[in-house]
Amino acid sequence: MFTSERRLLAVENLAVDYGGYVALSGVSLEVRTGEIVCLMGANGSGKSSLLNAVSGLVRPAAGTVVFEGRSLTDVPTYRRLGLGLAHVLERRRLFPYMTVLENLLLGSYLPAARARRGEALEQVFRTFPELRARRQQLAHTLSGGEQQMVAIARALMSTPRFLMLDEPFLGLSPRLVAEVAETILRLNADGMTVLFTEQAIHQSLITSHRGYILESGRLVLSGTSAELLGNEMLQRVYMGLDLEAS
Amino acid sequence: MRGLAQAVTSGLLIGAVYGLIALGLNIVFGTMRVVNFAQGTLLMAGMFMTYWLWELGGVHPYISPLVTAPLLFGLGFAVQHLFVSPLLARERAREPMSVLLLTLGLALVLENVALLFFSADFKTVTTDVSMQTFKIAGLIVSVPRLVGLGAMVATSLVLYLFFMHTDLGRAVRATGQDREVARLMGINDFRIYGVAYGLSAAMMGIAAAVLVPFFYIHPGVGTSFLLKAFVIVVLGGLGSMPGAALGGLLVGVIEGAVALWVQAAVAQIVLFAVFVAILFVRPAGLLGVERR
Ligand SMILES: Nc1ncnc2c1ncn2[C@@H]1O[C@H](COP(=O)(O)OP(=O)(O)OP(=O)(O)O)[C@@H](O)[C@H]1O
Ligand SMILES: [Mg+2]
Repeated sequence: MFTSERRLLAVENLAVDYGGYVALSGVSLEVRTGEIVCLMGANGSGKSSLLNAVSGLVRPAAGTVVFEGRSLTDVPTYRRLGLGLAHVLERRRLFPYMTVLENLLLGSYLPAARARRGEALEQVFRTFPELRARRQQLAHTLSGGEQQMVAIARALMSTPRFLMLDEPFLGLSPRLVAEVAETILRLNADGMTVLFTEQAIHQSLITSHRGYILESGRLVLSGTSAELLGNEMLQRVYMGLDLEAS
Repeated sequence: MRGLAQAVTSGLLIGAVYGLIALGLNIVFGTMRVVNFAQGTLLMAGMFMTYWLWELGGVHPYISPLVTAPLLFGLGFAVQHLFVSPLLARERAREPMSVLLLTLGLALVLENVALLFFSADFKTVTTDVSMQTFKIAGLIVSVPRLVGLGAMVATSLVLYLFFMHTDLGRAVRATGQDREVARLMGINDFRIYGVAYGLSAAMMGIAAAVLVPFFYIHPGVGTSFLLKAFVIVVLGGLGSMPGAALGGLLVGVIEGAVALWVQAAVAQIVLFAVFVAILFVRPAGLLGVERR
């Protein structure tokens, strides 16, 4: 397992507050270059809030987000992709009335990405060959699995260094879950650093190097995925639920 | 029968101008989910600009968009930047009510400013084309109105190419479909709003240019066009571009045909009755399935 000591993302003492409702408090975590890190927790534990605070869709009430040594506090959301930080939202969120190709082109809207657009498209079609034939299909008519592929592909169009995926396995059949997991591993092997959230603990841990567990807006557990897989409390409390749920 | 054919022809041609205004309304609505009550006022501003260019500079109305469209774009962009954006930034709702009221306020202010400076007198511009007509298959076709139809077709075509085949155009559509995701794509949504508002204002420069040779100019002129544009936009489907163009032609035809038998005021009532009837059958409007 490859982990360099270089920190790509450092979140410190983060708090998120929705008009008085505290969704996250005192959360600190880090992601090092080359890692796959998963953030796990039940519904409403604050996983999306954390990713949204990193990409800027949500303004933190306290704490800092540092990306490649640079504080993002004063960087507007639309400038963060240009720094190499891509975010795939929960439930894919494709532009529904646009074709697959148009969605991908929007992924390379930034001038720097536009210059390398042809190359990036080829690369993305190599990663997701099934999308090539569906270029002209409207996004909202795609199946859930296809939508997830397009959402990831769109995020890759700007060749980011860091990819955040919010519940990439949500609503997918076991076969597609395996396929998406394999994609994550493959991207990582090619050098991509990944932070993803999930409720499915077992699948997450076998797809990552390290993991964090969120509970009601606080981190309660963290460690390497191997450690967490063997953690008894985790097995009883979460994986038991996992099995029941599936 | 000849009378009806004639009325339909004239209606179709004026309907093209309605369509142009409705298109402008739809660009703003499709992007920001805001009904722009100032659309008619921007048309009025465009007409006055065209008028003064003609009076003072001898610029032919058909040339004037070269000046008025960029000016109106700037005005629209500035209004968006100075007034609408700060309000939108604070408003979280998807269809922001406060912004809608702001555009209404803006319309009232601009209209009264125009009243103050230009008085309520009706002004007209008589150009070489104003009275020109020609006959085709026994029908009298007014040249300036035909120019209006041509302008709508050309403008729609350019807009289509812009929205479908340029990065900026795609970004405008994307922002209308999902503003948050647009930001994650590196799109500055507030800049895009400025572009959309500016674009719809600039289009009023074109509408003004084709209207001025055959229509009176005064501070309240935008209001009647705005009302019709509302009907068209709802008829054609909110946010649907082809719907706006088609709806404009339809409203023009209905208006023209009905006016054959009844007074103009009654014709307006008939128009609104047809409007309500269509909404009963197709609540989303004629082409209102897709929102973009
Ligand atoms: N915009 C919002 N306004 C108010 N409360 C919110 C908002 N967004 C999230 N919350 C609340 O904050 C808490 C954390 O939400 P968040 O979406 O981060 O959780 P999550 O772990 O991603 O959940 P899920 O697994 O269901 O996606 C929840 O209780 C949620 O109701
Ligand atoms: Mg979530």
